[in-house]
Amino acid sequence: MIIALNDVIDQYCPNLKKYLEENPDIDRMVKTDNGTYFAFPFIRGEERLCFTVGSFLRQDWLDELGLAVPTTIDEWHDVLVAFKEKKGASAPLCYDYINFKGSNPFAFAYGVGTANNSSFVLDENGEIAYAYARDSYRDYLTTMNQWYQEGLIDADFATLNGDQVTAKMTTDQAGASVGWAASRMQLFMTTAQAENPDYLLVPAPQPAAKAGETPLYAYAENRFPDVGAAITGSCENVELAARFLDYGYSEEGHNLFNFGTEGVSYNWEGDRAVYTETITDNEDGWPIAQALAKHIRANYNGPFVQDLNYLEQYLQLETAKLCPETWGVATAREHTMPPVTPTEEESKELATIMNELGTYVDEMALKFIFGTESLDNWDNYIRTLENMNLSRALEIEKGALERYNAR
Amino acid sequence: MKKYTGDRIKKDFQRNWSLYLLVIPVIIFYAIFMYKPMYGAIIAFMDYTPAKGVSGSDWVGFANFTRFFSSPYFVRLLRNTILLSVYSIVFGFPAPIILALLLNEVGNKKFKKISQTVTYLPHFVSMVVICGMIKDFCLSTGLINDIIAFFGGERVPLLQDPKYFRTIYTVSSIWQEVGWGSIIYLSALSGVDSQLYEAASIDGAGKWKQTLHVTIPGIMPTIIVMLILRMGSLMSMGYEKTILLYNSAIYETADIISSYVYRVGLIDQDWSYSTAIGLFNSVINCALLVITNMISKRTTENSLW
Amino acid sequence: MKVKKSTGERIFQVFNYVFLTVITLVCLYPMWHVAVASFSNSNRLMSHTGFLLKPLGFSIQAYIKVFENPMILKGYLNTLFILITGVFADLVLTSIAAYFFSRKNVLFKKPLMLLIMFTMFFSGGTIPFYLTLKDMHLIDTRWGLIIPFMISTYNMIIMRTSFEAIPESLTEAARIDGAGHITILVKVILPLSKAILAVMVLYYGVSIWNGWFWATAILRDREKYPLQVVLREILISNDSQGMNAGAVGDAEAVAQSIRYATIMVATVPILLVYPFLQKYFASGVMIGAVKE
Repeated sequence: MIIALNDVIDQYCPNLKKYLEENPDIDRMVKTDNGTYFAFPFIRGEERLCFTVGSFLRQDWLDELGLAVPTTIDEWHDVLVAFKEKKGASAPLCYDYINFKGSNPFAFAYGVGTANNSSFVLDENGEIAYAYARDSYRDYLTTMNQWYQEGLIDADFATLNGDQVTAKMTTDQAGASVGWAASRMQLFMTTAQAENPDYLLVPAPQPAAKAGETPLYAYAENRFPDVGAAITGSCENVELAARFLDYGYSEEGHNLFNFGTEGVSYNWEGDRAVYTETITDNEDGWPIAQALAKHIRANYNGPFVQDLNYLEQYLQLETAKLCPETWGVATAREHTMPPVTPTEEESKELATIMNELGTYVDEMALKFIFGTESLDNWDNYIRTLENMNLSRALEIEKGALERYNAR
Repeated sequence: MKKYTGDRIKKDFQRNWSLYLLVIPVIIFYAIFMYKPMYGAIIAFMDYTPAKGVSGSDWVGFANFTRFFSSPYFVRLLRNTILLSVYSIVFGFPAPIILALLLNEVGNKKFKKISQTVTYLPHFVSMVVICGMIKDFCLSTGLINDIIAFFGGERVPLLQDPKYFRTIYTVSSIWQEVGWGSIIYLSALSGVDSQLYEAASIDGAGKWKQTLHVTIPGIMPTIIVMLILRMGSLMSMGYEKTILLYNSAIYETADIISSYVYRVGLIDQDWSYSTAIGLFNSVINCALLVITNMISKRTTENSLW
Repeated sequence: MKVKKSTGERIFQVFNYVFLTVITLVCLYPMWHVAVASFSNSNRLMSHTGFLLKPLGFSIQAYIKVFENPMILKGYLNTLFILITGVFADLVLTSIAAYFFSRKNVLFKKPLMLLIMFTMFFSGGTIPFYLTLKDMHLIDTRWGLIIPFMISTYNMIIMRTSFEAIPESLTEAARIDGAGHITILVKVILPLSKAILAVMVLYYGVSIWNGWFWATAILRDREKYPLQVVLREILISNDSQGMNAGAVGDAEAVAQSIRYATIMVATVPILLVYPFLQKYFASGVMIGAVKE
């Protein structure tokens, strides 16, 4: 069993305490409804570090075809059609559905994208809504179904994994994808540019559902993504453990976790820590992700505050550096469900409902997209969700959100 | 029982005490890793949470079972499990027998040896690799679709369409196990008395008649025992493969009780519910075994016990 | 005995050879496909359709990449550790059990055997087993993949049957010379059971080498992943676990030919071993053995 940390943080953790006091919005995420702390949190230091998923596509193809980077669903359609017809891409849009089923920007365009393992969003009125039961979810599915039927989305996208996406994206079979900036977009570029120096990907901004609309929703991870370190009841020296874990929030610890060892993995240039060649141009030929993993924890997680400076250097290629800025939407946070905590009783009930719903929703989403289930059966779908006790789940989430806001 | 009288027990211990001492680790092993989980299955009747433990959790009677029986997935899971099992019995069970019979007719030793070595091969390839290969071959750009397209058919992402899952599953399972499964029948075939063949051929029976009247009856006990064993693992088969192959687009045909147990238990961590479903499955399994054994005992006089 | 073959029989023979040839090719081709693809040029492989009879281009680039992947090397080492320790432990405990149940005149043999056989047909299920491992503090340890799997009842019964076939006179002679059970097992029985030991090494070895399910269930620490779990991440990964926090970019993706090279690296060792043990397979057949 893990122990409550309130007294521990008060007594032994000056650095964490200071950080939480200075950042009340994060403090609210870390503690529970009754104000108890259980974790030494992993924290994303800035909002921009939270826009980690988005779409990107072939700039060199766009240039060749005289097209602009798409900003609406219709423009996306045109671009994908052009990729298919003029560039011969067999799967113009290719991504691994399994990883991005809820978090792809097309879903966010319709206000039904989800992040942080939640299936709920906050709608235009700030009301809580189950993303996969919203009316606009039907529009999203209609679009996806249309794209799938037209052959604009990879025919196998439900079974693909990251490697297969990489293979298609780097061999001209696909021209647009969804994913992370470094481990996908940047990787595709470094891989493909070895053979084709003109190969260039650019991030596309969060599209709007219709021309003239401003996108409101986008993928935004929580600043505290619910990972951290804890101390268990069997710990013999709580003070030592606490002081050790608090180190990550001190300036020294911050630099160690984010940049590694001075003189080995980074040097100071003015007041900016800059990675050495050991990281950026590894002597053993390691890719940057691997070199980073050996020296730092920032590209994983741990009890510390992640530094934006890390990401800016991790993203080495010019267009990849644009990702956090391009993918971000100012209002995204307002529509993202914060990390609420249902009570123990509620959790159980909620889990039961959500697991059952999840299976059904996952299944139906693909059936609607593939066209094996007609969207005429939408009402039936909604009715089934109701029968699976969706309203009770909403009620629980609503109560938890109220308690969260009252923290 | 007359056998276990105090006197005999005493004598037995005097004679065999060192043997019993030796086997203690084995007994401990079975107690901990086989019987303790059986006892642990009582959480199927509880509302178990790790925090409270087995002793502290509340009893809920059959609530977890009724929840399963009234679940929207119950009928589908049962149907999928049974159909997949029936497929693999109907097609998968005879396959190695036929292969063994055919191999038995091969005169060329070298050919037979090569054939055997190669058909055993898939058995040694790990399930993860097999499923990785199946997934690749079933892509709309994969090998199987290449063949379909070559004959003018339309490319279909095979593992995204519920229609094909059972076929893919059954055919690939036969591919994996047909060679390996034939070993036991080959060994039974080698045990059939050759004098019977001579007698049959003197009576003017051709190859076909010999097979029908000598060979098959000769290996029948083996077939029956294998069939009974197969029935006993009917409902628990295939979860590893299913988990590796399926995706939400094909749950409709691919989701079986044991994969659901895995999802509910180890992924969603709904311990009691998952255990209840697993227990239901185990009981059906056991019942099937007992029933098949009984039927077989009555009709063919072959049985496990 | 020479009997003239009828036309029907000759037709059957031809059909039989053709059919078996086809079956053999079908069993062989997928592995051949993977082998050939692993040596192929990645780009040419992507645009290729249909059967692969020989490598497209020739490159060992994929293999270099595979061995540069630290996860695969670690996976290999973990698997080797589990394999060597596991097979050894399995053999020790299984032969002890088999020895016990092959002895004559042991009063409690029958009831104990029944209790053991029962576990073949009825089990507590996945979750209670998992919770047992948890109680035993085996979660997130490599021992958790060894200790709970030390005896497979099927294997034990096969071994017992083989031990029973050893003439009693041999063990009696040793007994009269004052040898204890351990001495008899190690000095008399095991040296006479090389064939069955070889089969056991193979059976246990293959199941450890190929096992992945419990490894995914109990291991949290990626450093402890055996090869098959690493493979699963590379080849299958149909759980959306990558979504979790911190995944700004930790997973490195790989090209198609690397997938195939990975399969080869993980599969070839087993495929190299088994043909040498093939002649013993028949002794591993358990028919009639389950029957008591």
